[in-house]
Amino acid sequence: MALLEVRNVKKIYTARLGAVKVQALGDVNFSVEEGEYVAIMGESGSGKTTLLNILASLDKATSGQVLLNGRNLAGIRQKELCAFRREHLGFVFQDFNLLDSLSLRDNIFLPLVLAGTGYEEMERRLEPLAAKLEIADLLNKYPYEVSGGQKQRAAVCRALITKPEIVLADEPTGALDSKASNRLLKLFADINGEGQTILMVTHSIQAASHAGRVLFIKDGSVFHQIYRGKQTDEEMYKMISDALTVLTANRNDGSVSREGEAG
Amino acid sequence: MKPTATGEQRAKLWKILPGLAWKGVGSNGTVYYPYFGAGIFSVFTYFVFSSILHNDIIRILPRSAYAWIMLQIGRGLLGIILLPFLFYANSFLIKRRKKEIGLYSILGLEKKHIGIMFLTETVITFGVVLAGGIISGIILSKFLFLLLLRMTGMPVDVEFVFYPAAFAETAVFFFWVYMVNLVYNWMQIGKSRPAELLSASKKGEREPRFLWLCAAAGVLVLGEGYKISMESRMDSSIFTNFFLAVFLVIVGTYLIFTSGSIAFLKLLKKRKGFYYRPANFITVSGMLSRMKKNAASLVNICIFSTMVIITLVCTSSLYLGMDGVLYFNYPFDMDAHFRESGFREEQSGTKLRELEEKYGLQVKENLNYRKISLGCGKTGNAFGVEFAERTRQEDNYRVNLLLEEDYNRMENRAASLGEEEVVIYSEGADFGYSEVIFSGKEFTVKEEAAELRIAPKAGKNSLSGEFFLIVRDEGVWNGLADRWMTENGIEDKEGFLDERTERVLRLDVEGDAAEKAAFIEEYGSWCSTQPGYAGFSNNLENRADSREMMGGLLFIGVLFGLIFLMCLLLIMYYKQISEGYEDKENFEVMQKVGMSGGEIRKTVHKQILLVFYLPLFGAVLHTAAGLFMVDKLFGAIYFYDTRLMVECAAGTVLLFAAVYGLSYWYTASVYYGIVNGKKE
Repeated sequence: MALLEVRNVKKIYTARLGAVKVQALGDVNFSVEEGEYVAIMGESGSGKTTLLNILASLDKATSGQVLLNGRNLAGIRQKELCAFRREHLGFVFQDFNLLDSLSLRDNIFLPLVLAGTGYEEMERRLEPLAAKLEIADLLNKYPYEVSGGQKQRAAVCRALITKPEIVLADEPTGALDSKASNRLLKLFADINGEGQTILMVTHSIQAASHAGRVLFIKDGSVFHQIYRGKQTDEEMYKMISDALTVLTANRNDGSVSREGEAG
Repeated sequence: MKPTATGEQRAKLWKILPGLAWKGVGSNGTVYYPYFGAGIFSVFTYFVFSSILHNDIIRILPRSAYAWIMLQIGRGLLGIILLPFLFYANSFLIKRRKKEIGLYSILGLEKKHIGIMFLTETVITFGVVLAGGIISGIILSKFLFLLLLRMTGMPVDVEFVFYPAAFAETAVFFFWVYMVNLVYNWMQIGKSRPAELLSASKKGEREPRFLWLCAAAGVLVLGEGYKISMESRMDSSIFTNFFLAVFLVIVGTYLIFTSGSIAFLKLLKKRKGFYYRPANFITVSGMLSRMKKNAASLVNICIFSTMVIITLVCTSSLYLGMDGVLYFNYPFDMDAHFRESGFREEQSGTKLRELEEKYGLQVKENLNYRKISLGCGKTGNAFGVEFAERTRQEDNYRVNLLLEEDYNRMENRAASLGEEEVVIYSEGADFGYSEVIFSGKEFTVKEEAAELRIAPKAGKNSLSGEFFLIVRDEGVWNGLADRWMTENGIEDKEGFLDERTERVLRLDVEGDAAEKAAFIEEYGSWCSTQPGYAGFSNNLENRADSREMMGGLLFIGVLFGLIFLMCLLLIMYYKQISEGYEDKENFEVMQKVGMSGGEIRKTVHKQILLVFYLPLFGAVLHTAAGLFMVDKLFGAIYFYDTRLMVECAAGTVLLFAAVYGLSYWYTASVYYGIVNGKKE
């Protein structure tokens, strides 16, 4: 059984007055196996953020199912949802989302504190992680005192410290320069190498080229996917780039084909 | 070609400015509406004061001089309080809108355009506030005026007129208030760059140094303030002491709240078992990150709370204790003084009976006694020559020599004193010795009387307390007077004694108020025609005078209590919403990381609870210390009912805590609404 299964997920937004309906996700189907490193690509407005929000249980699908370890997210009660997110999912955001009033150490501890973990246990988990992410010296600093790359590594540390089943990353390199981006992507690859499942949403080919599999979303559904197999990052980069060219070239007749599908 | 704005475009830009101004007010409703509310209330009170001041009636009415002077002073104080307060409210608004202004200037509004936008906004605000305040003033000031008349005991059937001068003065005063605000706002945009306006600093505050030293200094300063208040005495230094104590308490509160709260929070943070719990974690770190600002607003809240409570305690005690004060000062409806040598007891009695018949009234109480009043300096249990030194003025007392015969009759007693025995009575603190020495002659105190009908006792009366020595007969009486005259070097002993030996008549009359007044009036004028006449006091009029003075105080007390309360509530409200906006982002992050709505609510309540009850606690402590001084100050107007004052204080504190709690509940829900709201 797959770790994460997405079945026929549909999302329709209704405008406030109810007259206009916008379909963000048409019919999304895919699954992620344990230990996989998956990147989801698509243009702005293709629905990738909507999809991530649904996977993160921050938003609910209009229809269809999302199963994590066989458990349907839609079936979790609102009250338990926060605890569920805390225990099973790790998040990395484009804008880091670190609290300025907390030191990096306390930011990393935040999900554990919310889960009621004891201080010794938190320290024990933090030590190896901080060393691996190379932020051990920065733990007592505050977010406004460190660079963007360092902030993002602290955020990754916060995502990993709960030992989540899957890390969901939303454009993690979006706010970083190329050097910091490369360093972060290398870290992601290392973590994945140790068995951590990662699902990343991005529109950077560079970022996606580190993944084991890339899904392309277009107009609210999975349009295409490519596997890395035994290829290097450079070959992967080339393939993604080609796939995107096709994706863009199809733009003009995309609506026609979608109509065809519907009929 | 360079893209410069054409004339047409310029014209368009000018046209949209008023629209932007309206939008600025409308879209910042959460912060603007309370600002309007506070402004309207300020105009309202100022206008009411002005209207009453300008009514000729208040100057023509009998005995209205005190009320007029009180209102005049009150309006001056009002101006002193309102200007900085409205300035604070305005600077709060501008801080909140910096980002919006920054955006406008990046999108191409020049500084002068923004200046015009501010001008328009200020004109709108000024117009709304002035109109709102004056309209509500017109509706309510007649009511308030009647209230004032009732409180001061002035005749109520008068007409209340609005004078243009009241409108003009209110408009001018608030014109300057808003002008100051506008200039401040202009200066704000003048010196700032758009980029700065856009990115509000996210940095935490730097931690103050010498934390423990400051905390210790705070405790010392506050303690000194409390000490001054508790040890103060009713003398000429009480007013300087009063302001010194207030100053020390404010400084002490500031030091303690700043350093104390930070030291306390840091201590909490060090205790890992406590700190790393969901609700504590966010609360403590959030408060530490804005500790200085936090402490400053807590001090403001604490001081304003104290002001509200003390004002209300004074007002309510005065209102409830007024009759007691009037009775203490004027126990009888009238007092008549005659020289004993010329007094004709029979005629006086006949006249009274005649008047009783004429007015159909009853003389309820008729005290009639002889006394010799002499000034003495008191050292321990000895009365001697009065002290001339300023520093010992407070040891000078008036000693009244009474006769056993009169005492027994008035007090319904059967004291039979020996040659060297006296009964002593003190209006102020108990005398407390078993012997008394008067001008060198020693007497045994047979009894210290607990009360005397002609002179109500107030143990704390250190200002005007008199002593009464009741002696056996006229022989002892004259002997003592003689010793005193010798000691004081009086040459014409006979003439002096004749002048000082007085006959006092004190009467209470029962019946209809108007008839009673006429009765006393007529009796007074009859007395003045009698031989030996030395003075008459119509205490119905004296009581009315005092009532009017205190009524003026009460009226001002009530309005000022309300003003302080308004300031307090607005400061609380602004503090909560400004922090709400600051914390909004943090709570969004926490929700993403897995904090539930329930946990957020709990955190919010914990945070606000700490922040809100600390100042209340401080205010109650300050009030407790301040009551000692209020008690002494009340002595200046012969208010000696400490018990009543303490009861009023307890009632006021409870009531205030309830209002405070309501405001806590309300601001907490506003705060929660802000941090929990969807991202705009």
